[in-house]
Amino acid sequence: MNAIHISALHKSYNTGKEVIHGMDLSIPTGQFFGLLGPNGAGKTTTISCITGVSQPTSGTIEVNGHNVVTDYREARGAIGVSPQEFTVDMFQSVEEILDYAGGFYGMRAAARKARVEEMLDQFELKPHRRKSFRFLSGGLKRRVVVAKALMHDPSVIILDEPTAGVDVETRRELWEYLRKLHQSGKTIILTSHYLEEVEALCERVAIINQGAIILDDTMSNLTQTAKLEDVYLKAIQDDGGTDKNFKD
Amino acid sequence: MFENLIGFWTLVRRELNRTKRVIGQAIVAPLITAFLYLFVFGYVVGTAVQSMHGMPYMSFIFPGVIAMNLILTVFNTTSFSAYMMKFQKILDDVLTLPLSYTEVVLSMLVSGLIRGLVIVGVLAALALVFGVNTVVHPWFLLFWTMLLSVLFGLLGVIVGIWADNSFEKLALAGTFILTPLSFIGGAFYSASSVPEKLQFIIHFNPIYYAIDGIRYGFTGHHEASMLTSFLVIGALTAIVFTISVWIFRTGWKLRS
Repeated sequence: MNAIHISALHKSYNTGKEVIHGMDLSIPTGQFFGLLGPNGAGKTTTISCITGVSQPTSGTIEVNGHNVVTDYREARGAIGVSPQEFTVDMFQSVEEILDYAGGFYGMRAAARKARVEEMLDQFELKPHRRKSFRFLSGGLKRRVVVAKALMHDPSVIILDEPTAGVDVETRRELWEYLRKLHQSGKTIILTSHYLEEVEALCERVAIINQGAIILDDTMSNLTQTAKLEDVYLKAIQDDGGTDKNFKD
Repeated sequence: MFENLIGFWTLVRRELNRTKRVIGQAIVAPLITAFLYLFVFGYVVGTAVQSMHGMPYMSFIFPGVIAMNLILTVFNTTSFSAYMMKFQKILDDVLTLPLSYTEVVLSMLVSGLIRGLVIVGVLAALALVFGVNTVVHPWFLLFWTMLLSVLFGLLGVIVGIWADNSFEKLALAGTFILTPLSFIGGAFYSASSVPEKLQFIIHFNPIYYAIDGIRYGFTGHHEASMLTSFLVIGALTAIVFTISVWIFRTGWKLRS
């Protein structure tokens, strides 16, 4: 079964410019999947269409077999998303952010309380639990946002640049945690500009450029003869380079 | 409708928590404004006015002052809240939740309603300081307060979303539309004291009916037909509720 199934996805913005051109993509349940591409290639737009922030212009997206437009409640309930930008109330404490995140997904108070403790422990946020989000460092903010995405124990985890601004130690700890989550059967979709991160974690990679997938293969096939970075650069170059005018 | 009751209630809790953070804007500001209106117009100027519809001038204006503050405060807090949620991209987060669009709007409606009841409660207590202690129709007053809180709370949400990232647009509706309509809506005077030729202007102003209903709840006196008032305010509430659900369903000004 596919955790994510995207069929003939087109997305245009109000300006009329099409930024995703008929994308087809299936991600099997339990796969650790990397979505790569230069800035403005369409990664965040694709993620926004999956999560409900944007609506597809045409085409269908299913999460665990649920259409994200017509069956949005089930589709969104299965997803935990850590967006590139911090979409949290800056004035809330770490504890409040996590508690509300669990509540939104229907978790009862006792289950939320236990899960908040688990997340605070896992992401070493206990000393900061009562601090307002706006007073945290960039790395701590990123940890909170990832913890928030995992609060309701989703089966599909979407991480858009989860280690941006995070120090090396925390990044490695997050990698270990993501590996554990993957081993427990979670589907993980990762976008990152750190290619060594993608190479270390993902089983399969798709490269998107100018709104279309230009390469999609397993990590072992892609890195048989070259490093992922070289494969990536060559793929973008062969596709005619990047379009800096594209909106991500 | 409520498939995710915990999620719905969590949104209400979060909204009320945001209100707690702006307690000055939500509670203290209307309290001070109302005090000044009652002191200047009711206590100082009011002594020169014999009576209005057979009641002391202070008794006549205090429901108007309460209604005006209720409308403006509920509108300002929800419009600012929606504006900031959009500005901080928190509304993006709301769009990814497993909640129906009706649940999202109802959560804003319930939090607006709770705010409204608190404001009326606090201002009614203030009226006691000025010796006004009548509530002739308490159940009607409760119902009318809830209806107005929903109407102006949701109107605030719509304006906050419509304003995009412009403080200018946010201030436009409150300062240039709602405040003048409140002043000419009969808070401080009776519509019958306005020249007959101009009375139609007042009767086209929905806030006139909002104030008249609050005055009926407190004093038992009303100028417009209560059925007309209910139809005007009820219809407007249904319209803003429908627009709010439409906004979240279609993503107007929310989704790119």
